[in-house]
Amino acid sequence: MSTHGPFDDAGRFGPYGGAYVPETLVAPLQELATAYAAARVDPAYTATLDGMLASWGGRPTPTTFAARLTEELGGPPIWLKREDLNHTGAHKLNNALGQALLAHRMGKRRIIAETGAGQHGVATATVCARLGLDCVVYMGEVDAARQALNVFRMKLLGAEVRTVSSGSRTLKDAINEAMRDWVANIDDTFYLLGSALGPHPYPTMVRDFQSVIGTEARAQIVAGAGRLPTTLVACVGGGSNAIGLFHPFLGDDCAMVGVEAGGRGVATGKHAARFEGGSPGVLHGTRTYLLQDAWGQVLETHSVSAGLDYPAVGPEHAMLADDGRIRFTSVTDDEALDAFHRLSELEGIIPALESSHAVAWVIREASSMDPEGLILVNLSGRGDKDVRQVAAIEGVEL
Amino acid sequence: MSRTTRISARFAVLQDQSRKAFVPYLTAGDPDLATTGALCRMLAEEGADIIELGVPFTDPIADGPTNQRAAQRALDRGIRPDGILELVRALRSEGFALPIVLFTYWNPLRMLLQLGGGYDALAGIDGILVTDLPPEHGEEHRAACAAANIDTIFLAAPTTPAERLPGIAAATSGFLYYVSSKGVTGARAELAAGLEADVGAVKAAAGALPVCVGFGIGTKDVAARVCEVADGFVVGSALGNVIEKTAEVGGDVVEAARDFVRRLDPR
Repeated sequence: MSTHGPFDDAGRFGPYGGAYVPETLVAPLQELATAYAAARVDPAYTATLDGMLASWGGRPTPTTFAARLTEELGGPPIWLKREDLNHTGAHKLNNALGQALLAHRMGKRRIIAETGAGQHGVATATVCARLGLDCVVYMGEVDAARQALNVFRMKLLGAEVRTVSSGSRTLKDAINEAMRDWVANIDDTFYLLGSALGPHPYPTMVRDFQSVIGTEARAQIVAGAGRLPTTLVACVGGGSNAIGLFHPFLGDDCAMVGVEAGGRGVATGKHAARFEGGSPGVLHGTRTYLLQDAWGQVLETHSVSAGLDYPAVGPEHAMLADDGRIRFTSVTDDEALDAFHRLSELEGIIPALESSHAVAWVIREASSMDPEGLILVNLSGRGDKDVRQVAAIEGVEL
Repeated sequence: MSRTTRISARFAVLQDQSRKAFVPYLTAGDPDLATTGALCRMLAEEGADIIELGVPFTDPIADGPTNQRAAQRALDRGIRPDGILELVRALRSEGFALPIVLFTYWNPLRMLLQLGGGYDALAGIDGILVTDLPPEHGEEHRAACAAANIDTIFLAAPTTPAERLPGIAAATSGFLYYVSSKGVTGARAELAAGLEADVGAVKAAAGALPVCVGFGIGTKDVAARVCEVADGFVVGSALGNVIEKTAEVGGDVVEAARDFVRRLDPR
C-alpha cells in the first residue's frame, strides 16, 4: 500500500493548507491520510457509507423550489438544497458517518470531536451510537449555554460532553482541547473533525464527504429546473457545507457566494468575517485566512450563530477566494434573524441560524439580480436548535 | 556543522565536563517581564544551562493547563513579542551569558518576523523552537535561521517513526528536543515506559547533536532518569506551577522558584 502524508501536495491549496502540527501528530495524520486514501477506493467501504447515508441518514435530500420567497423578492428563481432534512438536522452527518466508518476500519474505538452549534457533536454522537463507538465531544462553555438543547441531545445519544472554559470558550477553544486530547490519546483515539479545516487530510477528506451535497443538487436541479444554477450560495463557518455544495460545480459556469457572519457589523470588530477582516495566518494546523491582531494573536469572534463563530476558514476557501472563484461577503446578525423569520413564514422551513445567513444574502441581493438566472442556496440545517435562542433574543418567554 | 552558537558552545563545555544540561522553561511575561528577567538571572545562578522563553499565544494546542494559564495571564497583561525581545536585549547588555531559546508557535513568530525586521532583528536569541512547525514546513525558516546564526530546534516524539528521525536531525541544530510522552506539556509523576529505548533511538539518529528531553519532567527522580539517557532535561510546567502559586498569594516568586530548582536538579 502506498503511503500518504500530511505534507503531500494534495494537502496544499495554493499557498494555503498544509499540516502545521506538533510532531506528535505527524505520524497519526500520516496514518489517517493513508487509511483514507485506501478507504475511498475500496468498494466495500463506499458501499457501506452510501448504504447507511440512504437507509439510515435519509439521503438523498431533496432540492426544493422556494416559490413564495422567489415571488416576494422578484428576482431569479430560488431553489433550496435541503440538508435540513438530513438525519440529525444538518449536513454534518455526511462527514461524521464517513469518518466514523473510517475510524471503525482503522480499529479506533474512541471518537473525539469538537462542536460549535452542537450539530457536529450531535451528528458524531449519533453515528457513534449506531456504530457502537465511545464518543467524547468538546464544546465551548459559551456555545454549550446557547445550545443547551444540543448538549442534552448528545448526552441522550450516549456521548460525554466536555465543556471548555479556556480562551473565548467557543468553537476555536473546543478544537484546541480536542487536539490536546488527541495528542494524549493517540493510540486508540480518532479525531472526528467537523469542518473542512485543520491539518491535511481533514480539509480534503471533509470536502469529499460533503460533496454529496453538490453532486445530488446538480442532478436534482437539472432534473427540476431543466438547467444549471447561475449562482450558488452557502454560509461559511469552517466552510464544509459550502465546499460540499460548490466543489461539484467548480467546472460549471456559475457564480459562488460564501456568506460569512457579519455579527454586529464588520466595522464594530464583533464579527467572524475572515475575508473582509482577516489576513493569512496559521491556526489549528492549517494556513488560511484568519482573524488576528498585528502580532498574530487570534481574535475573538462574534456571531449570533455558534456554527459560524470561528476565526479561521477552510484552506480551500482561502485559495478559491484568492482565485476569485468564490466571492465572500457577510450579513449581520440582524439580517440573519430576519431571514430566519422570512423563510419560516414564506416556505414553511425554519432554517438554522447558520443557514439563515445564506438566505439573508439572497433576500438582500435577489431583487437586483438578473431574473433569468437561477439561485441555489444550501439550506445546511434546520432551526429547531435555535428556537429557544431566537425567542430569548426577541424577549419571548417559552 | 562548523558554526558556533551560544548553544553549541555550552554543550561543548558540558561534554568536556561530562555534565547534563538543565533547561528551564519560562512563559515570558508571567507574572511580568521584570520577574521573567529576575528568574533568568536566578536560574543562571542555580546552574541552568539554557533558558527557554515561551512566547504567549492565544491557541497553544501543544500546551497543558499550566502553560495555557501562564500564556493567558501574559496576554492579558499585554505582553507582546517585541517586549520579550527587549527583555532579552536588556539581559544581554548586562552580560547575561546563558543561551536563550525562543519557544513559540508559528503564527506569532511569523508576525514578529514580519513586523520586527526579520531574523536579523532577533539579536540575543540563540535558538528557536516552533512547536507547530514540522521540518517539512520549516525549510525557509531553517535557512533564514542559519543565515542569522540562530539554531533551529526541532522535535521528535514517541509517535515519530524511525524513518523521520534522520530528516528531523538534519534540520536541527543546537540540540534536538525529544518529547517524553504522548500528550501536551505538563508535569507528570512518572515517565513513559520505554523512554530509555526511545531516547536511544533518537540519539543514534542525532549523531553528534545533543538530545534534551522535555514534557512532563517535574521531579528530581524523573529528571535523574532522563539524565541517564539524554544530554539534558527541560523543566517547564512544574516550574510554572510554582511561579503561578507563589504569584497568586503575593509571595516572592524568584525565591520560591529558586527553592524548587534546588530541590529538583539531580545533577
